[in-house]
Amino acid sequence: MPQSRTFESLPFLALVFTAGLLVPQCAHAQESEVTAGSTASITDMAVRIDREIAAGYSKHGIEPASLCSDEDFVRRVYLDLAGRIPTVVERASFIEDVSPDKRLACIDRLLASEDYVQNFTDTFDSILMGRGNRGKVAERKKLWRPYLENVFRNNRPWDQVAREILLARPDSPDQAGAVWYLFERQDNAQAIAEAVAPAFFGIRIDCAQCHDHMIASEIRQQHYWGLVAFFNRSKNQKTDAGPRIGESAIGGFSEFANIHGASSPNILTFYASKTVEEPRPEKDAKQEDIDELYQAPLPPNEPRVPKFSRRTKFVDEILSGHPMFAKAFVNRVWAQLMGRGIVHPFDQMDSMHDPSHPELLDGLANDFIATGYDVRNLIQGIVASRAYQLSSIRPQGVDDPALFAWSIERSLTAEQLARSIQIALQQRVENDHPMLPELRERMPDVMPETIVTDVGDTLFLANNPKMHQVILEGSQKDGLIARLALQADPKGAIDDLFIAILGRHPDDAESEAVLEFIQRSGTADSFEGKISRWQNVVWAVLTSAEFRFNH
Amino acid sequence: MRVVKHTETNGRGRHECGSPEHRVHRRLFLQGSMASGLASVASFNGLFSIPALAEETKKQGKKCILLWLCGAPSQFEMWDPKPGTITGGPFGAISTSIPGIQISQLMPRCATIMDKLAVVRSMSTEPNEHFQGVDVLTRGEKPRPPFTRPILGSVVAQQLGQLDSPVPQFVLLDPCPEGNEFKSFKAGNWAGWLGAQYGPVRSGGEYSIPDILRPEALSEMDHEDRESLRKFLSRKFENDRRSEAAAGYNAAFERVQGLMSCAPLFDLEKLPQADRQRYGLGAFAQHALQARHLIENGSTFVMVANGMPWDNHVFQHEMHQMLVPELDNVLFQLITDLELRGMLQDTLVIAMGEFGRTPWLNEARGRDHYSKAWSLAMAGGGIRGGVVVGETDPLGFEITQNAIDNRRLFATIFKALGIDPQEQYDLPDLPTFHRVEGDAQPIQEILLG
Amino acid sequence: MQKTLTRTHDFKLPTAILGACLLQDENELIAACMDGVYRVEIGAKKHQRIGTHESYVSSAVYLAQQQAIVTAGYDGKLKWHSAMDNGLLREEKVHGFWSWDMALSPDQRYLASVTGQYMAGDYKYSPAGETEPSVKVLNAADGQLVHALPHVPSVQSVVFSHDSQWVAAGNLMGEVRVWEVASGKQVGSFQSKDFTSWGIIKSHCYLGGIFAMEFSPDNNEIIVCGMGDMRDPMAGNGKQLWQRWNWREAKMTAQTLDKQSGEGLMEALVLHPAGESFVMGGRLRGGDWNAALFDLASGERIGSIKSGFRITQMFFNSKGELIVVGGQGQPGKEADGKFPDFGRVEIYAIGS
Repeated sequence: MPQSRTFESLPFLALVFTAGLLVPQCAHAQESEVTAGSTASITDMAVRIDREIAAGYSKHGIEPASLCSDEDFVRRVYLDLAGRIPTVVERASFIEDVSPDKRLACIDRLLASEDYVQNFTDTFDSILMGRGNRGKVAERKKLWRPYLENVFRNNRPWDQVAREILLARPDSPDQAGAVWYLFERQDNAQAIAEAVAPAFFGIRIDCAQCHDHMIASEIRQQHYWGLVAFFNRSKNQKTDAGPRIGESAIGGFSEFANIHGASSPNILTFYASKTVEEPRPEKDAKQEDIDELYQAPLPPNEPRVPKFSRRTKFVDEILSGHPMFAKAFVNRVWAQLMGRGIVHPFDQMDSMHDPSHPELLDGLANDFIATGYDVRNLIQGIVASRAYQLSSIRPQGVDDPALFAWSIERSLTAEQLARSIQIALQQRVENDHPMLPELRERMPDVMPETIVTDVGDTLFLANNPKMHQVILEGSQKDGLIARLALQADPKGAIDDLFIAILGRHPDDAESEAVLEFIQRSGTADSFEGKISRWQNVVWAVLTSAEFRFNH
Repeated sequence: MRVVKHTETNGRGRHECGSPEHRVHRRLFLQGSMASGLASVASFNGLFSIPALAEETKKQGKKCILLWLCGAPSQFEMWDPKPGTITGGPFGAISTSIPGIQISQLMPRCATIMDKLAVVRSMSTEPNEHFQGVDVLTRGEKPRPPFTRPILGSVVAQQLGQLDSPVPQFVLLDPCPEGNEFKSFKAGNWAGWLGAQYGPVRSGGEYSIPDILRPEALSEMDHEDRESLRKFLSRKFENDRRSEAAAGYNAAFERVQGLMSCAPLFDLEKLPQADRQRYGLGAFAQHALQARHLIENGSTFVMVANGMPWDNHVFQHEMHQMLVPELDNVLFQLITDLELRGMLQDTLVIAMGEFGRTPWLNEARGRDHYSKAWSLAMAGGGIRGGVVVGETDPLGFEITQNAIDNRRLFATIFKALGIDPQEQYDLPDLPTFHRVEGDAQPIQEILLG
Repeated sequence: MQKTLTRTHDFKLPTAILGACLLQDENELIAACMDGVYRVEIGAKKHQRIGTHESYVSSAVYLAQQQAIVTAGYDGKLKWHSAMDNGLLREEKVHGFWSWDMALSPDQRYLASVTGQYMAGDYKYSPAGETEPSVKVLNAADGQLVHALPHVPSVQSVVFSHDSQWVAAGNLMGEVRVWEVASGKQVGSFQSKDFTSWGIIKSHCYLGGIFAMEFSPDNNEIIVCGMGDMRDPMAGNGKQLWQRWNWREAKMTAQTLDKQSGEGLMEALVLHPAGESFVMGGRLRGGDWNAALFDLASGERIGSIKSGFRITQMFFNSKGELIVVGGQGQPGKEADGKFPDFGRVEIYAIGS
């Protein structure tokens, strides 16, 4: 591939050199001189990514897309990190910035922002808890959300977070919310197991409930029931200190039957890990729940802890050091930022779904471990890579998205959409906008396997009263529509419109189309008439595909 | 819009285990449906678009209305009366337009059109509990996890659905948000391996298609104008970058106008008053009328239910005295209307539940679940009327002749609709599945031609 | 204050009993059964079927002056049978639908029979209006129609006042209408919402209503019974409920006391001849009794029985013993070539 095409974008060129990257002029070249140190710096990660991804291009003999423009970059990185499009001012200051490392600086700034905290909290809340259970909104808000916010605000190591969530025995108040993950599942150990496997290990075990996985045969029925067993002695308790997860020292022994009727004991075991030994009582033998089976009394309000605690065993012996743990996280964050996982779908990392770039996945997972499960560092590394910063225009003749040869389009999540609409119309954001609950319900997808637009989505955008209300709000003082209607020069207004909503200038055809629309009909003369016209224009731009996707 | 295949290949010629199902699972998880039992069929993102069908698979434009008598009705109070016997219950039997065939006195109107009805008195199935019964009698087969067989409506809509209709092809009209086991069932995966887009659009009661009406403050002209501008900008984006995501998005927007145009189909108030009176004022009857209306206007499969009212463990006769006459009238009106409109020969009407009721009465004088010997009825489509299939003993305990199971029933339904019952699903690398398993044969005596 | 109810006698009939009465000498009982009218020698436990209806027989009363038995059935007919030779004296087709219940005025001059088929009247299944008069008052002697009175179907229970001046009928929706027997003029009505369930869970329709009634000794109040509200009426687990209403003022004056009820449909209610208590019975779905004696003044439950079968009717004999009739569940299969008997009669002595 001709090297001259690699650095079309001056800012990136500058970035590469000023960031001190020892990347040769071709970002995908094999002969990188970077040697991975014991701590993987962002730049190490970015280099690793670009090296491995470029190796894929070479192998398939393709040319990737060019580097994306600053306009594209600023919109993309704001959506990915801050969960919204940039304001007009944020956009302009980035574009006008002439400093050579402005992309890295922008990434740093966003990762340090509260927007980042809220955005990642939203995503992880959806991934870990789902969007439902509206009955529990209050508790989630009070306990779970602050916990997640704290995780991202303080960049807490992911291994510790996972441990806190799955052990669910908070030893400080800022961990209290972690119990909600198990608590909300209301003692349903199967529901817990089915949620834990994809969330922390990147595999789905639902299929293995009744028999060994039909296709990914390494996922066995005993893994399903073993994972269930680690949680089947746990029981929700309401204490004065808040919700807690108690655990019994006895019980939880059963047999599971496969479809052929053969039964097996539910020993404490899990996929790609070991078996935790625990003596099984004789069948029908009665176990006594005596005090001696529990640790000496905890502080008041805390449930007692069995001396042999299955949850403790799980976090100490299964979770800790599990070969899938770091990979699952890395793959998911990759999928979130890159449009698909290195293993796709991101939560089916089984023998049926090979990684597109196995060395990259291993390398990033090792880097992640080496940095002490530093979440922000991982994100930074991915976003700083050239692969992330490619144009979203698919090169001719290239059609396999698993090569990451162009930036894969992604739908805005409900939260990103609600925030971005507000930014476009008001230049400010209210996190709990009235349209959000319905939008979440109607467009629940987060990192879907494939992008699907249902007619319901478009009906929402076309007719939903809350959507209509948002347009009306944008027509009030300081709103985009009011500002456009007040502008004497329609051409200037059209330019402002495109910048505010799409983050770019209109081309001639677009400009003409909008102008014709505005100038049509006599009502345009009155202010109300103008407002009404601009409302329709703003709606049309907001609901165009360009706004709907991150590209 | 999504391109639909039975399974998705992962680009290496291999197929993923129940991949469409996983996708549904993921979305159900996100919606909290798994936990809270929110009806997945409450999602109306169903059959608005059917993938292009090869000409040869596009059948004769047949349609189907399933009157889903959920909870399981009593055969003794409907199609297989045993008057004057210890198990017969308090209602008598009446003669019908076909000499020798008697049905319950609660069905005087159907008695007059017996020549159009085919009654099966020898249904014999396995599951005796609601969830399992509903599963088997709506899918045609026992479950074989992890694979989920599509429900009858999904299969029929996929096979016979109209490509270019703005009208939803598979509609579930059920105003009852609860329904115990039926509620759980509704929260499950209806379309199975065909993919969620073959799931039903749900309407009725508090369920309507959200946002199908234009915002009141917006004039129709503005609505259309702004859409034309949107379309211009959005298409330009799609074309400029050959974006598949944008293409799907724009295609979905193309459906909006068509769908909005069929909003009146979902508005009971828009149905003719005289028809509404004629069908009966209860929710089930009203939605049965709506089913006729939807079928007339392009839907392919409409399933009408109203929770699971037929499960009369107590108040058996007190409930059946109301439910059966309502059904009697609904069947009569529906079949008569379809005939008057020249649609009966292409429209199969099925009235059935998930099993029958015990011959004996419990202490509450209710009847309990009974799957060993029960009845159902069909009319229209490719079904021959005036025929009774099978027979039970004088007290209704056992089938004495021609037991019919769920497989033979489904073979009959598919055959009547012109769908090959024996066809194999295209699911390579997975177990072989047929539309009907076990080479089950249709009930020839009630099939026309 | 507490009373004991001690079973002194019991026997079975082939099918469930829906109603019953005693003949004059009180040694014989007439049972209205699913499969016909039975005449029973109580002491000898011997029975014979003396007549049938075309459906279940729902009520039986005894006309002392004419030595005749009148039965009503789900065939909508009333039938007069001779108590002398069991012969059929007269039959009248009174209703197009069931006779749900029939009552004889204490002065033995009038019969009242109630009917009505529950049919869907609106989207939410409120009952449709009547297609025939729901309440009919007849001359007991000759079956001549005296009054045809309107109500909302289905009308499930009927009773005369102790002075034979008023007749009251209660329906599915918990509405009771009261008429003057002489004129047929409606003189009162009240509606209790507490006996009717709209099925939220499974059945979007109405079920329940008032299943039995009795005037207070002074005839100023009516005690009604049935089952309390349920989310799923088909669970049959509503509260065992009675309420006492001043029918002229349409005002409830008392009801089942807190914690004194289990669950199940109550469909029999009768005053004790002493006028100080009443007994209510029906089905046991939850709790520990299915018939109980209540103090009229305080409403306290002062005695109870657990009969092991569904009670459909109760009454006292002149010795103050309680006769209880009903049925168990129908057997699911034959034993020794026939279905085991599932009609039940029991007699209880009341002691203190």
